[in-house]
Amino acid sequence: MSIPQDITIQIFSCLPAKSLMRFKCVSKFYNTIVLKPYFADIRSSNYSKINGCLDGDFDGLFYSIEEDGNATKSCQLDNFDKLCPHIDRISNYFGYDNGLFCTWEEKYIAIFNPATGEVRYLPYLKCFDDVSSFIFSIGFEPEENKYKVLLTIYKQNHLELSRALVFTLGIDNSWREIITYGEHDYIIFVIYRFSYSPEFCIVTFDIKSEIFTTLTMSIEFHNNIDMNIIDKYGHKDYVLIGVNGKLGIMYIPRFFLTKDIHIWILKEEWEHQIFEFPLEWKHEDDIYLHRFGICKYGDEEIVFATWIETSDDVLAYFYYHVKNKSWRYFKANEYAGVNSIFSYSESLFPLKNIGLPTTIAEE
Amino acid sequence: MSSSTKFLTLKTCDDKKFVLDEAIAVRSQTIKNMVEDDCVSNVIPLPNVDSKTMTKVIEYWKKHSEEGISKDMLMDFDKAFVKVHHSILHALILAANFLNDKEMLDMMCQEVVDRIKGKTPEEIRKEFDIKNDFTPEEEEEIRKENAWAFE
Repeated sequence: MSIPQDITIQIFSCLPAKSLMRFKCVSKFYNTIVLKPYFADIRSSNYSKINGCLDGDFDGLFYSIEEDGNATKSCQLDNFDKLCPHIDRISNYFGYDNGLFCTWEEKYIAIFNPATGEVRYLPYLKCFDDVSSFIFSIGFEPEENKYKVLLTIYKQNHLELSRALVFTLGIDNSWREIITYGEHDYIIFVIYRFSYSPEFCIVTFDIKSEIFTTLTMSIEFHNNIDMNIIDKYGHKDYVLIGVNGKLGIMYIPRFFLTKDIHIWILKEEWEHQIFEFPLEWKHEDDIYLHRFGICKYGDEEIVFATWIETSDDVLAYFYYHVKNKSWRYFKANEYAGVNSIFSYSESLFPLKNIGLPTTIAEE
Repeated sequence: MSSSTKFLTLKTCDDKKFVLDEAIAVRSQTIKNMVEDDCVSNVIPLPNVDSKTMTKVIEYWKKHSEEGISKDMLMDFDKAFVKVHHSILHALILAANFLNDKEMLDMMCQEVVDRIKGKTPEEIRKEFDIKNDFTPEEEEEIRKENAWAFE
């Protein structure tokens, strides 16, 4: 007697995405099941999330990094080579939330899901030609189970926000212009951004209500900010990160980890912590902090990927446990061109009906 | 044993009888419902379960009902319990499903998940007795689309 289908579905719901994508060719039923909403529902309650990291390589290669130091190839995005020449190799134009990524450059706004290998392009806006600066973010709102992409366009001076547009995946066919600033005091599921206007601050965007607000920073934070550096280099030494579902700002000194690392976590009030790399790992200047190798969406731990420049270039992952104030680290056995690290959980959210499969569409 | 202990007789499809403490047998939601609805005369027939499988199920139930057993000991027991031949594992899943013991069913399913996640589509069809209803061209197309998942 064979196993009834409802149990087989139950079993499938516990499989990692890679197995599910492979088992699509088992039969027509299993080809379509992964995209069924009821399957996604069973799956979200059954499939335990990967708490490791996912590295985005510029070849469209994603690796999940295991605790034993092995990098497992997670997926290869086929269409990524079309994106690749357009992505600035220095800049880090990646937005991420709950399994989906967005990336952009000049004439491309791509959404991709490493779990299913899908890549789609959002409508291109003519106004991009006239503006100097724009940023995309993707955010997930679990109550309504929606992904929204937020686009903010800045004026010529790069500082002032001039327009904001939203695109809800699977629902919107075009960008929706939204009215920006409003007052509200209950912030959950938000996208955070640094802003320079009226002063250096953090702007939050509530994904559900689509309202912007400005966060009040602690005086201590302002005292620690070196406005000379901000004016000269921008805010690149400051990184917005997630720590245990709370917003954190991390200040990492430029290039070398020879100084203290500051972190402010927004609880009831801003909580300030200072820590540094353990001395035994700091041989003079031999630890170079790969600027983008910081996990921005972490749990209890903040992950740093750094090159240890000893005899060979070795990539190491350092984990700082915020609550216990402890460190652990491991070396990567396999070289993977690290661009970014994400605390990644798979999503089977289908991109098929979103935007366009390859080319640019003007709106 | 205290005088209040009630026993149930379970009869499997191959006509073997198992006498079991009711407190243990009601781990099965199916049996529990029968007991609560008072439709238990003296023998409970289990037409979907054979005696070999039932012996394993009772072994599991008894271990999980032991007083004072530690979590670690149960984990070791579970680990060893699921290391059975493919056909027994399937029989146990069918039994746990019929008896409606969710805890046991989840554990057996997880074992299947661990066993199949690295397998090929052909092996999955064999494992679950699924008929391939694709034409070779259709199958090739889907394989191509998801080539990365085959590496």
